Amino acid sequence: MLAKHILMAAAALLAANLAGPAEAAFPDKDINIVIPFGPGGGFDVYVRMVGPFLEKHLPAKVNVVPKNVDGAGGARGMTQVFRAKPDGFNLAIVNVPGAMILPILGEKVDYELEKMTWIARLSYDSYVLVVPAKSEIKTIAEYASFAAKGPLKMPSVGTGTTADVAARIFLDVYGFKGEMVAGYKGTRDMTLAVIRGDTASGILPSESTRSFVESGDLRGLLTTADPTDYPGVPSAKSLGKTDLDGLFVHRLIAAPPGLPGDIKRTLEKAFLEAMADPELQEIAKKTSRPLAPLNAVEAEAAVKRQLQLYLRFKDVLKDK
Amino acid sequence: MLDALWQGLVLTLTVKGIAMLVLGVIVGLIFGVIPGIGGPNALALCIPLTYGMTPQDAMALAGGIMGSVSFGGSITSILINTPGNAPNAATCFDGYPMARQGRAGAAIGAAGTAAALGGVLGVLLLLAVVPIAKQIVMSFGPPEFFMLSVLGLACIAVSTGGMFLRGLVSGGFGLILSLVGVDIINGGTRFTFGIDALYDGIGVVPALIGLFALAEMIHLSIAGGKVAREDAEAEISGVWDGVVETFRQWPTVLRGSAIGAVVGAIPGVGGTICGFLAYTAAQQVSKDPDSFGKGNILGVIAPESAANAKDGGHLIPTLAFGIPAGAEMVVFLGLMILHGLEPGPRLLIDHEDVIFALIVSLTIACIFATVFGLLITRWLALITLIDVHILVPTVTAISLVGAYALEQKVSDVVISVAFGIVGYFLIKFRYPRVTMILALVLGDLAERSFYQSIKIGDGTIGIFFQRSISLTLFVLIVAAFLLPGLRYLRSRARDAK
Repeated sequence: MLAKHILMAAAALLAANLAGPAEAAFPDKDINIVIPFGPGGGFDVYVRMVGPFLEKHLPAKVNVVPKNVDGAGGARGMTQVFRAKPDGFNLAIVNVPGAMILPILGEKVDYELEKMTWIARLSYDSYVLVVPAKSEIKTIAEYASFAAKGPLKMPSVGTGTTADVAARIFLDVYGFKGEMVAGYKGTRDMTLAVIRGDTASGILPSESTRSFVESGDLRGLLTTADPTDYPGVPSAKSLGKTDLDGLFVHRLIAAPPGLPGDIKRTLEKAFLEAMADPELQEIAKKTSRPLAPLNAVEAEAAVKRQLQLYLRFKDVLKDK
Repeated sequence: MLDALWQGLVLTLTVKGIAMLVLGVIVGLIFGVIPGIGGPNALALCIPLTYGMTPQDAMALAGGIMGSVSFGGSITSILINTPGNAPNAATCFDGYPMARQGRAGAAIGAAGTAAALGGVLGVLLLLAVVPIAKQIVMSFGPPEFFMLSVLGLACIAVSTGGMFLRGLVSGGFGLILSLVGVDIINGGTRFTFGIDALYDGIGVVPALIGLFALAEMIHLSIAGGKVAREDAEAEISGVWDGVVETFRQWPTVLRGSAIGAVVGAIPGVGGTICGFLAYTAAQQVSKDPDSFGKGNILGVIAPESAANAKDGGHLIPTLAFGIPAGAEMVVFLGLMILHGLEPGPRLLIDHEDVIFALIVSLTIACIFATVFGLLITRWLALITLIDVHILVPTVTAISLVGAYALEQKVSDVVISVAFGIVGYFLIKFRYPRVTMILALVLGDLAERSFYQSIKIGDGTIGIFFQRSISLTLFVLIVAAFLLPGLRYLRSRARDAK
């Protein structure tokens, strides 16, 4: 019996050696995708949604394992992947601009975003300026005259978070005086704050506000997407505020620096095929989690573009 | 509505639905019993299992877990003075003294029955308020959150039975600890001493494990013997007494459940506080408040009914707004989204059947968990008769694994051990530990909501008194501080006669 096992193992080894060099077999073990945030958030949901389809479209049958490594505003998970072996088995879903704001603000982080290997983009989200539906403010012009009366209060999670800096850039572009009310638990909580009337308005990611705009609790005044992603809401570009055009949150897949080209191409292909899978598209549609795939080259360009945008507004990203 | 409820019942009571429910209950009980890991972990673990399921079956599994975790957590509160989960902390006050008197069976019987009744009442309240859920969630803004957190702190100081000042000292220390980490308001770090592990503050769970489980184990190993001091073997069969007693004390069950469901419905406050509020309320209306903390069964019934009723309340902001009311709901939210249930204003219109399936599962789970749990109580209660030489290493190992398992951080284990040592000295010098843990939980909320209120109120504190709910809570805070004093004066006057 034992002899039979040994024989079989030897045969398997021989076969593996004959099959050629090891890298041709990528992937030959489970692929981890680090989510630098806790479970339940948008980044988490996207990984868990795409994961099973990535398994389907990878050349070999391996598991895709989502790993929540939250802490330090996302820096802990980013650092873990930045330092991991560039073998294709350690990936991360990256929040851009979230992951670049900390270093821009001068915080010390142990990762370098520019050196990461970008594989694909899963989705992006625009920002929308919202007021409660019961508010008298109906257009951006009315909003401007309201803003002239005093500092605009805006809900925020805290200094250095994505929606906070987006709001600051918005205020700067329009020349409005603003004041951040920090301490909300997340963008959903901020949405509720605007509906409740804690603040008169807010700059919020579309994903968190859309259902409330549709249900008539909130009114959108401006979106950073062009063409507009909200019926009846003007885009920043159409209002001549090109600096706000393309102010997005991107959900990108990245690997540690120095990922070999062939592994990168295998992963890129699998991600793009997974996102083209009609079954996944059906789920994405049903759950209002739209996919907006970009390939590796385009994803890297998107990162560069966001970096330039945020660097331009470096001085207004936090209180002086 | 009855139609929808019937639909939910039909959807749940399939073979697979029931199997999922039972699996959920078992997982929930196990995760509840292990200190540190609880509902959030159990739910997170089960998310991948639900990939191929219908939303209804997934809800049955989730409902089973949520309905049973709390009862599981109360068992360790009673047997080894270690809350399985934060909401069970208040159960230690009287549950553990009961175990030491050899009445562990009765305490578990009462906790289980209270949990089942509380859970069902919480769900009923959820059903009743579904139409007005929006208004309820809307009326709680930062000023109300601040007042609620202060009320929580006040209640706990009051309920420490004769150790009012010591309670405040320990609570104050907890408040200081809650400041460690990133200051969310200006982005700076406080009291981290350059240690990365402290960047996100001191986790409640590692602190809880240290202060309760480890401290208790240090204490036990120094004292020697067993948990049950008296010859308790004959009493372990007292489970049924606990069950009957709980039904007899229905006003306490009702009050506890109402507090749990209402406080649970407020996002941001979480479940920890409702057990304490229910405990304090039971103590304050009691004719014999001094008997609390010494093994009064009401001290088990009140917090346990609240701890399980909170799930129904928790679901209100989660379903209506997609805003999780606690850690468990954060994970649950992820599960819902995964199954195409987008929480928000339209959920109840678009997916009424799934929501009612969840409500039905939660109800059945509450009852099932208790029946199942009580069947094995007799053996569980034997823990109190185990010699410390076996109990201490076992519980210590499980606790440290629990501290690590939560976020896979070795630093959490170190924090647990540090709190264990602090906790031991608190026991030794008779300072209450729960005030510290509650202050650690509520300190962040209190600070944040105070700052937000002041910002919203244009720099004045008037905002706290101009809103009716906030003002009502303020009056309750004042009452909480005055009541023990008044009672003391009255008893002195009576003695003088």
